[in-house]
Amino acid sequence: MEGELIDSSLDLSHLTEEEQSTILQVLERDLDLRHRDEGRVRVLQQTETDLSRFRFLSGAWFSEELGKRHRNWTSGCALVHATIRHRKTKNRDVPLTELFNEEREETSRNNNTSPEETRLKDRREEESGGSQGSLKPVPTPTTKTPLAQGLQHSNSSSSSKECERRSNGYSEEPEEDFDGHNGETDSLSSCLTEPDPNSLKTSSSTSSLHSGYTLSGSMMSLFSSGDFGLVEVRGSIQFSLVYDTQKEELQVKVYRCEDIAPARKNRSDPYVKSYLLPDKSSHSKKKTAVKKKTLNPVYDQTLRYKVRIGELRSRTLNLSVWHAEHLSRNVFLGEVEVSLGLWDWTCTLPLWQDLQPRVNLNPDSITSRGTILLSIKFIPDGFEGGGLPLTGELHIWLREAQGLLANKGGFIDSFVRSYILPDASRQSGQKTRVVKRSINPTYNHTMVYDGFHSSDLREACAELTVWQREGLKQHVLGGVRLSCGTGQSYGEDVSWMDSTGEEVAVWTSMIENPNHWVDATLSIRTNLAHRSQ
Amino acid sequence: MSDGDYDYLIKFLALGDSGVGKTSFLYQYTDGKFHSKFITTVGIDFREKRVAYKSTNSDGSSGKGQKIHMQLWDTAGQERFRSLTTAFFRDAMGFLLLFDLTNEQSFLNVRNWMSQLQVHAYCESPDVVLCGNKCDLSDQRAVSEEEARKLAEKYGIPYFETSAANGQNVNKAVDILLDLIMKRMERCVDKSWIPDGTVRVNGPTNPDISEGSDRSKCAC
Repeated sequence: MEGELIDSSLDLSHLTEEEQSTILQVLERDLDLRHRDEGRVRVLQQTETDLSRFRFLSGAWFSEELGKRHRNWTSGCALVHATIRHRKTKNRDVPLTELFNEEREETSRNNNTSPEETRLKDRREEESGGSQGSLKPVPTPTTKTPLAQGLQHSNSSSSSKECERRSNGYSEEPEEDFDGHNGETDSLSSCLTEPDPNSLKTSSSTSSLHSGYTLSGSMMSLFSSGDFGLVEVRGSIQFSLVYDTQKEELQVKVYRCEDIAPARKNRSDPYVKSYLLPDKSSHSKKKTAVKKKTLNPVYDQTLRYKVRIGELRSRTLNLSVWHAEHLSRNVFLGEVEVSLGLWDWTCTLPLWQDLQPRVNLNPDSITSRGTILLSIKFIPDGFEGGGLPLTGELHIWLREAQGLLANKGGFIDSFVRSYILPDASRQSGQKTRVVKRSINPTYNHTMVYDGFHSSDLREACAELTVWQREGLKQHVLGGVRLSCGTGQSYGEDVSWMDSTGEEVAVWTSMIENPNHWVDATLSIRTNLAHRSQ
Repeated sequence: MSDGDYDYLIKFLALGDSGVGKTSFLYQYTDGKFHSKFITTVGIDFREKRVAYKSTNSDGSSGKGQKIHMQLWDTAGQERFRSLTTAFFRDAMGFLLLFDLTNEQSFLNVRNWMSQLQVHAYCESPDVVLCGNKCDLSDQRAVSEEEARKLAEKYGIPYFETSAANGQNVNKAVDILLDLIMKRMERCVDKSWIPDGTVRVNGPTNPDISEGSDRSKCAC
């Protein structure tokens, strides 16, 4: 695990308000204790001359050791504290005084309006069908890596904002757009129940909307039910992509558009919206300002995404241009999609791409349902007393899945099931708990299988399948198979030794590095060869 | 107690399945009391205690007394709090891994907990003490002492049969864990790390410390 970046987000959405309050109280007590200890350490700094003794008296030996192992880890308390506080502020209409305290230092950046006013202003603008950057990029905290040094009270405002930004990138939260009838809506269900009379005029868009999903480009996604197909898409958009490795931030700079279609009588009031697919939640959605009455809008705006570099390659950036319509749904003016796994990151110059119309695609052509992150380790059999188990043990630590793509898109309840083939008996199967309402579920579940000898590993296959649960029903979304991929097991041809090159690499690495965790980020594929159950 | 008048702040964390007795164990340790009513912990909690620690010098004499302020984290065993509680593993210097002697499943899950620790803790082999709790319920015992000791040996960690109800071995288990941490530090201060050799846990009458020094890496 040396040098591995552990995801620092937490999904605490399943906890009740009361539970969160209780936990928060505990964390406040912990904060008190930390403050007092900090006071003690400050005095110690003056009085203790022996440096190594100081390291142990102050507890620095511990933080250093922790820092060595996981560079980007914040303290558990800080992480949970910020996660809960962030959730709490999101759930209320009126901002908490806590939020005021944090935003006080940013008030000057908010054009001298109070945070409360700014919030209300955002909401009103959403309702009127355009947004002036509703998810304002949070100003960078001035302290350097405040979290790595533990939670300092004076810095708590900036550090928890930092966490807020991070959890904005990962955790799945219910969309709280106040878009009603008049703005864009992001749920397909509302589209189906409130059909816009305008959309019925164009046959192509109606059929796609009523078929259950609208899919676009190479990545399947569900988009808002704006008006598609009303205008003939034309024109192009100029943008650039820069990834800031230090800030772990993707910067999508939107420069301008040229010669876009007029949505209403020779005019458009365009804005650009971006998603980092397959995430279609509010965290993924970002918008530029609306430019009124122009077919060649200039934005010069940067949309920022807090995202790890490892996650980037599984994402697709979708940039769509819309006409902001006050009285009915916004009008789709075209889009471009960029597969970030294929992007050349050395190219940071602005480029032009032609806007494309929306295309319908078949869900059967989806080859990947997201990414799964796991770590796997084999502990070989050893003699008793050597600290090694009696038979070999296989440990599969299922960390999380990212960008889970179900047919209908959006949040799903999911779990992962594992088998070590050829043993597909009920006893061999293990599964995680169901993680609800998330497309980036954190399972954090370790499966342990024993009874192995090293030689067995070459004949076996660890099959992990990701399942979606809907009510009482469940169906498989896809999975991975970790094996040597030889197509044979114990001398027989089998269909399930069908690992991809990447999967084989992970398994082989595990075999060759016993007692060491091998980390893997793998595509959840849909083409697992069928095996008789 | 709430002043900064101590030499070390030591953080421990109790983990294990729901209902094994982590909260009761810690309450017994800090307050010397026991409530039989089961109230499940909401996510996370902690207790504090001030103790004195006396190290032993190489010549056998007592070293200077140190004032230790202990923060004892208590984690919920329930699965729904799992992602929350594992986030706190990284903050602890030592761990009390509890299982219930009357509940075999809780014993079988010790392996999974150890796995989680190895991943989430501040280092790959942190100091852990295994406690088979509820040893006072002898007629409901479902896990033998022998198999528990065997598991502890496999991991190179000390094992104690404890009872939060009557206090048996509770202080001892925590004291041993504290000793392990302090010795880990002391080894570093000396800068000459002489492995102490592994003293095996012998039996209920003579629970020597299993240093686990072959597994714990002191990196300073």
